[in-house]
Amino acid sequence: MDQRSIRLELAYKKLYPKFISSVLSCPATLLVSSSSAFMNLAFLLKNSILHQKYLNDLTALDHPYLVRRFELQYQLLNYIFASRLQVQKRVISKTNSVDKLFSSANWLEREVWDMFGVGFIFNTKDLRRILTDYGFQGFPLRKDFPVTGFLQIRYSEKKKRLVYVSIRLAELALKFSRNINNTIR
Amino acid sequence: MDFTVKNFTLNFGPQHPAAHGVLRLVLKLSGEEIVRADPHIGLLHRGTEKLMEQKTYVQGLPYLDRLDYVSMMAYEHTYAMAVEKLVQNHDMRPPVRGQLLRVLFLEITRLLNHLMAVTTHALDVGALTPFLWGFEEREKLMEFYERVSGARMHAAYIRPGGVSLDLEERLLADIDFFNDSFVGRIDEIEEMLSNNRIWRQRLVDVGVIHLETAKDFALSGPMLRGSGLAWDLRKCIPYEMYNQYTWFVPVGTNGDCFDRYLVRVEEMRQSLSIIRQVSADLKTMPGPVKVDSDKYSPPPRYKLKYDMDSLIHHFKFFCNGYIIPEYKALAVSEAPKGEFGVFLQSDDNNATPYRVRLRAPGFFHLQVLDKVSERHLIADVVTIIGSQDLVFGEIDR
Repeated sequence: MDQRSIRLELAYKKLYPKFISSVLSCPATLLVSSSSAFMNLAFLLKNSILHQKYLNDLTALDHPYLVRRFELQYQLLNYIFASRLQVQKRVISKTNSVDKLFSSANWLEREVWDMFGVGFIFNTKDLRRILTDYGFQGFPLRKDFPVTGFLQIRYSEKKKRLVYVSIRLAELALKFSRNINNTIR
Repeated sequence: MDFTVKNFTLNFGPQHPAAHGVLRLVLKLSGEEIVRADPHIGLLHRGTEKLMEQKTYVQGLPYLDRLDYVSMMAYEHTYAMAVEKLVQNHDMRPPVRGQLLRVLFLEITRLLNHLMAVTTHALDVGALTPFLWGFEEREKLMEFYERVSGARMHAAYIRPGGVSLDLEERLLADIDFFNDSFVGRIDEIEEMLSNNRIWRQRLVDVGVIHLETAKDFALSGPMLRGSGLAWDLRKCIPYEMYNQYTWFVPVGTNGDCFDRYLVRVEEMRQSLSIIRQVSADLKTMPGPVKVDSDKYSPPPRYKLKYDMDSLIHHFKFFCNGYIIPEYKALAVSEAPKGEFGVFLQSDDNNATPYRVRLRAPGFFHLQVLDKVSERHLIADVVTIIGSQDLVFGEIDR
C-alpha cells in the first residue's frame, strides 16, 4: 500500500470518527457500524472535499452463521482522483436506502433485495424484484439456497400452458474440493 | 368540447427486433410521447454468480464468455485479472508476452463489439447496409479468435496467469493485413452514416445525457465519454501494458446519441492504432505467455508423456483446482461497453470462490433509459436503446 492511501485513510478516520468503526487497507475500506451512520457518512463523503461522489457498485455477501448475516459493500468512485473507496456494513435483514443520494442506487438495491432479501427502507422509487422471474420466491444468492432451485418449468399438455413443478434431477450437481485433503495447498 | 386524455400503456418486447435480445419495456405514453419507460429485465438471468460459486477458478472462466456474447475476451480478461489479484505476492502475474497478447486480443474484441454496436444501431434506425459490411468484418475477427484459441466466440483464451496458448506464426501478418484494409471499412461506414441526413435527424439531440446525470447513474464507457468526460480505465487506472502505447480517448460534447456513435467509431480507429503497435512489439518479443507455476497453470501437454510430476499437476489442476487463502479482490477494466468489474472473495477451505460479483456496465446504462427517454417519441426509444449498446447476457447475468 502506498503512502498516499495511508494518509487518505487516516484522514477518513480523523474526519468521521463517529461513523467509522474501523479502516482496512487494500482496497481502502471503511467499516460502518449502524445503518443510519452510513447515511450520514455517505452524505459527508459526497459533499466534503473527499469527493467520493458516485456510487459505482453495491453488492452483498451472505454469512449464514452470523447474526448480522449480510455484509453490504458500497463502492464509491471519484472521477477526479480516480480513486475508489469501499464502505462496508453488516446488517441483519434491512437497512436504509441511499437512493436519494445516488441515482444509481435504485437498481442496485433492487438487485440486492432480489438476490439476498435485504430490505431497503425509504427506497423512494420502488423495490420490486429485478432479475428473477415474475412471482419468484426465495433469494437465490443466499448460501442456503440450492444452486438447482426448487421449481422447474414445463409445458402441460392437459392445461395448455406452462406450469411450475417441483424440481426433479437425474443426477446431483457436482461438488468440487469440499475435502481439503484432496487439494493442492 | 372537453376531452379527458388518458395515458396509454404499451408493451415493447421481449421479442422485438430492436430490443437487442430480451428487453421488455413497459412504456407509458401520452399520445406518442413517453411518460415513463419501465424496463423489465432478467429474462436471460442464468444465475452466473451463483454458478461460479460452485466451480473452481478455472472452471468459472467460460461463464464470462457467455455474459457479453459480442465482446467475449474482454470479460474473461477482467475475471483473470481478479483471480490474479486474489493471489497475493504477485505469484500469478502474467509474463510480458502474455500481457501483450491480452492487449492485442482485447482491442480486437473492442472492434468486434463496436462493429456490432454501431451497425445494429444503424439497422434499428433503418440503414441495413452497414450491418452487412460490419458482419463481414466481424467474421474475419472471429477467425482470428478461432486461430488463436480454437473457438470462434467463446474463446476461454485469456486465463488467470496469462493466456492459454501462443500465437501461430502467420497470424500476426494476417492481423496486420486486416488492420490495413479495415481503415477503409470504417471510412465506408462513416461515409454511409455520419453525414447522412436521415441518420442525423434520428440521432442528433436525441437522448441527451448530461454529464452530471451520467456520473450519477454510474454510466461508463462510450456512454460517459459521449457526455464529455475523458474517463477511460485504460488511461485512468492503467492495467496490462496499455500505458506503453500512444492512443487517444475520444470524447463527445453534447451527450446525445450521435456523439456516442462518433465516440464508438473513433474508438475503433484508436483500437487499430493500438493493435498495430502491439503487433510490432509481439514480433520482437518472444517469451512465455503464461505464468511458470505448476500450481497456477497447467504444464504443457507434451510433458505429460514422460514427466510423472507434470501428469499429477495437470490432473490436480483440472480436477481439484487450487485453494486461494481468504482474501478479497476487485478488478475493473474498460470493457468495450464500459466499466466491467469482478469482485471475488476466496475461501480458505474450498477451491471455489466464496462470492463472485459481476458489475455489468449495461445494467447501469439501461437504468438511465427511463430518465433519458422522457418526453421523447416511441421511435426515439429505439434509437436510444441502440446507442446504449445493450447485450442482455451481461445485464441479466
